[in-house]
Amino acid sequence: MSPSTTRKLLAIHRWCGIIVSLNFLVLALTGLILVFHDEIDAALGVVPPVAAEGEKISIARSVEVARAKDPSAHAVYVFQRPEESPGVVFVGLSNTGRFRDSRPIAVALDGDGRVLDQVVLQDTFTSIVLQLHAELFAKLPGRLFLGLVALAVVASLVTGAVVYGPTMRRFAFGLLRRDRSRRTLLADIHKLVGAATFGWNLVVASTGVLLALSTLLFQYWAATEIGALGARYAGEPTVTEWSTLDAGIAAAEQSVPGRHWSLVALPGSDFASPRHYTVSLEGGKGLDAHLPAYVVTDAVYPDAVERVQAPWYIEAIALSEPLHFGNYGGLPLKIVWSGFTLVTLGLSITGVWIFFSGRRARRARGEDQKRAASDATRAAA
Amino acid sequence: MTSSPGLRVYGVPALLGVLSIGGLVLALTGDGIVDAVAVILVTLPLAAIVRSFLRGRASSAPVTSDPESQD
Repeated sequence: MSPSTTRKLLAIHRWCGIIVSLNFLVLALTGLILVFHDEIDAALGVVPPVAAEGEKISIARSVEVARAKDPSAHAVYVFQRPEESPGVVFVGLSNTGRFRDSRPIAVALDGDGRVLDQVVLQDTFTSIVLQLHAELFAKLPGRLFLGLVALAVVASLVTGAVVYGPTMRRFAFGLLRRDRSRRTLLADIHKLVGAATFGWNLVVASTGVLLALSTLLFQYWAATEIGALGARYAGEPTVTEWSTLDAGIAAAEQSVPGRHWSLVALPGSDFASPRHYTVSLEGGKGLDAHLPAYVVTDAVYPDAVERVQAPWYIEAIALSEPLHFGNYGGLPLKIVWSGFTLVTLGLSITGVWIFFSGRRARRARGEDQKRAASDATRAAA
Repeated sequence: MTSSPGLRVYGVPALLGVLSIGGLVLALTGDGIVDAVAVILVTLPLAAIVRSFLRGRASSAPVTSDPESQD
């Protein structure tokens, strides 16, 4: 590689790194918290314990209970988290009929069903941290901006890996020159950490790009493939009577054995046709456990189910989530993940320090040269 | 035996990258012992960093030009 190409790549590496450094600080610190999302929620008692055993109301009834809170709103989805919040479902109410404008209402399924007013999922500590991490509190624009930040991180990583070769050709991996200037030592630390954590950083940054696009990609999928399933019912009014909801969920679960429902998009929402429930099913083993299965159930004839194969980009998003947040391999992996996050913070901090100390050194050299030139001119005169 | 310059420079980082990404993917696919192996693989880059910090390699370093240190 020619020296000029190396210099150009080094410039891209530095400027991308500098531009994203502040965002990176926020992302790393919030990411460090989100790795332990489940543990923090459990410790804070986000969802109060509800009698998980005994007689329960139907899911359809839980939607009615939630809707009674705000009869003017549309119910757009129902989801459950049986491991974290047994005996509770969350019903999404929205004034626009869209998922992204919805607020989840927690409904306890015991007794006659009751709204758990004290549970406001979007206001929990980890939820607020997630909103900062994923969208800088700016919804879709914030999400897309962070996608660009993640893309700049990928560019900085790749160019960093390419220029690593020319800058390290005479040194062994892991070299730390403690007997040289502080800047040289920090540059060595930067290169060591960057080279060692390249794989992890690349995975986290590239999955970050995908997750930033997830809202748009899900909407695209809903508008094209899922929308097409209900196209023949386009002229009919939206189904608003959900007495078939439980039967529809049961039929969906039967169609994919070994899985249980996690989320149902209700008819008329942006992830279901006016006539169908879109049921997301979780379960399975290995890689399958991270890939939800999708089944569309007719809301009028709930026995009529159709399995929908998610396109590659939806499956890629599903796999990106654990690979980005590190919350999938148990506590040991979470601890290692935190170690990577802290080390990568060091990578960013040393990079910024090297950049600004280099500029300071260049400026000082320039002033020295100017002074020397003016002294020489004066001496000649 | 001599190795090519590319392999010498990129060999260890590439190996760490492949093993750690392999560990990340492996952790997605299994439980129990598979998870334990995955965690070990993912930990290798951090172990390499710690090892470099613990080893005093400063004295053995050749002195040469380094674009990163020059600016």
